Amino acid sequence: MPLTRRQLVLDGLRVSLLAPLALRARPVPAPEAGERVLVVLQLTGGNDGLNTVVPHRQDAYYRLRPTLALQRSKLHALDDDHGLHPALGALLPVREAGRLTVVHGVGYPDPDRSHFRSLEVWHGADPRGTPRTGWLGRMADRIAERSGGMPALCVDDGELPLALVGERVFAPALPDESSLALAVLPGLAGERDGALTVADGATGDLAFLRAAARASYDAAARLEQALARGTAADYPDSPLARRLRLIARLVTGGFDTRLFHLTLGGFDTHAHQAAAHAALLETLARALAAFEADLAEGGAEGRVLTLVHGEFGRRAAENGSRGTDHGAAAPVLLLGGPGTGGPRGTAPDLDALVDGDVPYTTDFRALYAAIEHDWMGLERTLPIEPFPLR
Amino acid sequence: MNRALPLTAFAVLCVLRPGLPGPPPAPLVPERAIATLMPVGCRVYLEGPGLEPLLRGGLAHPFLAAARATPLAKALEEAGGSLEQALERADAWLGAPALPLAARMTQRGVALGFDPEHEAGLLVAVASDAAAAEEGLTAIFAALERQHGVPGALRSAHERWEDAEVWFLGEEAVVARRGELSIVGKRREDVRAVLALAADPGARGMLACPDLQAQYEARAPDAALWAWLAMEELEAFGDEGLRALRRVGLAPAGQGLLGAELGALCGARALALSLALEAEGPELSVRAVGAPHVASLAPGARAAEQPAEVAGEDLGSALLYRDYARFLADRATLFPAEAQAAFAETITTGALFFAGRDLGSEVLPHVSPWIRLVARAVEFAPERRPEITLPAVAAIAVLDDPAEGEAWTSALQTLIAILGVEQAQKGQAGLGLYLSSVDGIELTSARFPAPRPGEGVDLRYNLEPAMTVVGRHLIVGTHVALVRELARELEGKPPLDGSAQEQLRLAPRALAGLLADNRAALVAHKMLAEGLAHADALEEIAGLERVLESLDGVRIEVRRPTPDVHELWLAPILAVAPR
Amino acid sequence: MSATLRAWRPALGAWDRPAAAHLLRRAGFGASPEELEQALGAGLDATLERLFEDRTPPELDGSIQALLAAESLELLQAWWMARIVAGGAPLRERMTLVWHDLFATSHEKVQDVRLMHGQNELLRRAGLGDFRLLLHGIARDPAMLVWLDGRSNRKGHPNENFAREVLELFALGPGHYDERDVQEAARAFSGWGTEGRSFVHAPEHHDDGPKTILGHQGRFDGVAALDLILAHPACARHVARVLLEAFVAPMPTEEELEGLAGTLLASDWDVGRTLRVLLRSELFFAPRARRARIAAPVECLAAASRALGARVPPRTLARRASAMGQALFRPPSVKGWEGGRAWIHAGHWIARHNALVELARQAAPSRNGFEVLRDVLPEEPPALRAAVERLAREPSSDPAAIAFVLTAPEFHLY
Repeated sequence: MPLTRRQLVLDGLRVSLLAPLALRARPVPAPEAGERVLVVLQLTGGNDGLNTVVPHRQDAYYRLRPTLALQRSKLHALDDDHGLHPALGALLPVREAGRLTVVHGVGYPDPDRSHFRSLEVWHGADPRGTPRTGWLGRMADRIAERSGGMPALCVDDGELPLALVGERVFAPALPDESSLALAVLPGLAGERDGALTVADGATGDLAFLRAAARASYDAAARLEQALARGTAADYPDSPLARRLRLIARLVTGGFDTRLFHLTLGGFDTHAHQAAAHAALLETLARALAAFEADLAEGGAEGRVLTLVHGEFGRRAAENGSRGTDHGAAAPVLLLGGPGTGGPRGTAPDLDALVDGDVPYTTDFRALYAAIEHDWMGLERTLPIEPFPLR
Repeated sequence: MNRALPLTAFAVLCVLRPGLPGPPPAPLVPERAIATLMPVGCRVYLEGPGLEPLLRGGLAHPFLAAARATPLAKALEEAGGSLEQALERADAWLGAPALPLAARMTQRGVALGFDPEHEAGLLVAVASDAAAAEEGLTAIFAALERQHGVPGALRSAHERWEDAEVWFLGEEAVVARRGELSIVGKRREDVRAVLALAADPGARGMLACPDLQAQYEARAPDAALWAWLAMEELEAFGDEGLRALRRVGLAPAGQGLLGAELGALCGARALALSLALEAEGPELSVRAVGAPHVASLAPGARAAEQPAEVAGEDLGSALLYRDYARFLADRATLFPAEAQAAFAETITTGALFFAGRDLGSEVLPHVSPWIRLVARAVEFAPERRPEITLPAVAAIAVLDDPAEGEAWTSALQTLIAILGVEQAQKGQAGLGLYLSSVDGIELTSARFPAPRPGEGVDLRYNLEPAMTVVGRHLIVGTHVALVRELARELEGKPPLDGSAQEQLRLAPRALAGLLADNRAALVAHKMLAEGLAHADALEEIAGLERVLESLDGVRIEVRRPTPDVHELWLAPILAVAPR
Repeated sequence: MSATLRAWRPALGAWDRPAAAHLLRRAGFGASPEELEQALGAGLDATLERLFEDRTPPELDGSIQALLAAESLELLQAWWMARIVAGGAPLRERMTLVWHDLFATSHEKVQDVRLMHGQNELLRRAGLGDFRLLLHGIARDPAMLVWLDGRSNRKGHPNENFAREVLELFALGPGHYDERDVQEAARAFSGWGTEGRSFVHAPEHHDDGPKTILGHQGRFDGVAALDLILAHPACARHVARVLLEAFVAPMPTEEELEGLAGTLLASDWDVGRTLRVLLRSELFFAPRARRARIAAPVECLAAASRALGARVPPRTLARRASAMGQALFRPPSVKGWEGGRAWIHAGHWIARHNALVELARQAAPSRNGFEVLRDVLPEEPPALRAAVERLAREPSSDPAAIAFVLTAPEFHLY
């Protein structure tokens, strides 16, 4: 019977627990105290913001959405004028704790209604050009300059999103915990570590390869150590929850990645939106709530900021199939971070729509700028005033 | 089991008894079922109630004669030596005709039990009388001694337990004889248990399990083999594949996919299998015990019509009961919360295709849950013949109102249109929609633009989807040629009442033809995907072709002898090699 | 002829294991132990000639024909990998990969397996011949036309993509042309497109007005534009750089570039003859060239499989190479794979490690660590040898010994 992946991981764990002892010449670096983490959760398809954060005091809402408008009594109050979709109930404890921020009307000028193009804009932070790198990748490049390691991880299957593409750093994919597991053979790790730390004056490519190999093995070992931490938190049984759980284990386990990217799809609700949207928001809320609880359990909630956004919102008026079409601006959710939660930014005015869409009042790059500098502690690169996160 | 023992010889001992002979044991009651001699707790139980004709008939048995005439058997015998030669070798090894000896030793029954937890097997055989058992054992033992060059050694290493003689073949096996009863087992305690059961005329053995007893009494007495598998208990020792299969069977989603009957079989607490060996071929029937059953998904849950039968050269065909309307209607109770999102999305997407109508409550209830699937090889237009040909598949359903057909036709058109947009975005030519009328039958079909000469015809040209409504039959298929054929065959035929059971028919010989057409591609695929050398890949494909050519057909049916019995019946029909 | 390109006259004993392994590695994809022995016995000249041959079994060669209809890129990748590992045409496959990296075209956009196969066959057929024919051929290759939007390059609406890349990446390199050259060359290439899967030249879409390209004036069409580019002195140097970086070491010196460019021109752009000179030269066998490159995923896996005699399904090897960062037929961009140190990112090294451990496990019953060390690292660094001895002491640790050798950084210095 061939070795299963699980056995390999466990074998590796046994070996890697010994690895720090063997690598005396190079101690495994522990993350700095207070090292901050950003989790970007992309709602692919374009989330319907008006039914997520409902402006229930505006008559236009009910006029524009005869079948899709949500009843005020069922909403969870956000402030006097807005309520959250009923399916977001699981996030109420997060809001109570002051850790849920809703930023109204986030978008960019001259909004593009094509999925591909709009995603490209959000990923590259460049509404006009065709960027070849992404905002997270560029941040990862700068983090790697300081501290090496694996600054960014793509917690997803499939292609690396543009957001994570950097000039130098390559973000590995980790859709599940075994993706970066190291194959082991008895005795191999010990000899290998010895060979990689031999001081024979090697230079050039040989020295580079040894250092790079060491760094990779360290990362794999740290990854396994971090994953060894189980979670007491109760997660729902969805792929999103499983991935958030993986991130939580890495963060609370002390793994040094600071940028995570994952997606939740299915938001492109052109027809019969009500049931599908409710189901998606419920999946989202329950997974995020469990994630926050898990982080708190592990003492890490102050370190993690989660940004939840889609590539665009949806039109204010419903269409003929009891759904909505591609729109422009939409609210962005932030969990954690430096603020105390609550609604921020300028709420959409349904009597002042532009082309049937909610116009943007906050440029998404302002959020990026705030995250880059105020949260991640990197130098400013975006030529825009950062959004005040506090 | 001790692998040193030849398969055709049952390990029975007949030995010189050292010391004083004890009183001979009381013979077993003739009517005593051999299952009462097997200790309860064997998770796998196999018995040969009707093996005797096979052993006595030997190579002349009609099943064996027919099986040996198939291309596969002929090839195997050519490569490995004929069965006659194998039998001669067995006779020579034994020093006596092997099959008759085996027949005598098992005349009143033979059974095999297996416990995966301890990896221990147990073989029990009841001969016509004590002398037959003793004679058989002597012969086999002597043969073993000759083989290993240790005359007398095995026979002299024995003990006596009360009224039985016991021998030990190294660490591998324990062998015992009590009168006409012979036992071979891996562990002493198993053999002791059998002897204890034999000494107690009222012992129930495996029949103490009520499920097994019920099935046992219902079994056909002339079945060559009868088996009992305690699936629920076996799951703990099985591999991931077995566990996955059981999970699928126990889950409503699995039953929606496999059908309630097949799903119930996968998830059953235990299975009783019966194998009969006829001249046409083997027949296997599998009965489920403790089958979890989503009643609302099973045939009979609602009265329903079945599509009429078609009479063509099928590669395969099936009649399935899939009540997806009920599936969607009951989804809140059948499925966990996490799955509801997926359903919601399905319904939303369905609404796109069906002009806003709800798939579960407005569209599917007009379609009968009985669906007929047909797979055939089709004739392609010469310039559109793909280099790799696949069978065309079509589904036939019954609508309660022919006007419903329009909703489905327009759904197909919407689907083609959407696919066309996707293809256009990639800069590729998409399927173009066509409406045609042939002999009064209106067909909606789609196809790719004609391939340019000399540029190759890709796999996609197997797809020329089409749909039509004939009477109240809705036919949708992957290729218009098949849909047209079926439409002609169904012309004027009304749907059947819902009396047939779920079934599947395959035509392996016809499939062999398809294989031959695509041999080059299959061989190349094996080379690249499995790393085989060219010659080995050719050999494997040839082997597969021989298997297919050896079967004239395969029939799989769901049978309900009584309402609470779920049975699957499987019969491959042997094909005789062409001269 | 440049001093460094002078033919290498190995002193007695200098045609040793390391030298033979170096040639078989660089000019092919490594060697099985038998092939290495054979090369040692046959000598440098005979070995070099053997490298130019094509003895790929016809069933393997032709196996893809039956499968092109399946529209599966994975099978195409598997087929090329199979050709590489079979080792029937070492230098030809090597050059095909070098040209694939230079004229980098990706299935991601082309989305047509037959076209990618067609381009691959062009690179294979023409790769060791006249470079001019190769450049002309690739400019009219249907996959390239799709990839660099040649099809939308029309009179009045020029598309500069191909012109830019041919000047910047394929033939000249930056600094030898300006924006105007790009625009004018684009006009020259206008009208070239595809119909179905074939190249067509549509005169009605061709801009036949006067143009100024690289200082020359005339009503140039695509063919003429390419000839002008080829005539530019920087072109031969560019090709020389490609060959030197692929076969000798990164960052070739001025002398080396001049020398090889001269050889290329002197041989009338014949890549095969140029390689015969290069692969026979002092430069090639000099210490500077030995183990001077970091192995690309395909090189690493092919060399390891061949050295071990492992029978891994080609499709599996192709998948592993993709996981290690080199997906055949899918370079990340028109710049090809960056190569060198860029092959070694954390996730990719782990994939590399896992692939090699798996190979070691599979080969362990029939090979031992000492043999593998001697075959793949004939220089046998003492520290590694000592480690192999320690690992090979345990009865069941041969896979570990082999894996140790394969995952040692020394092995990845190609």
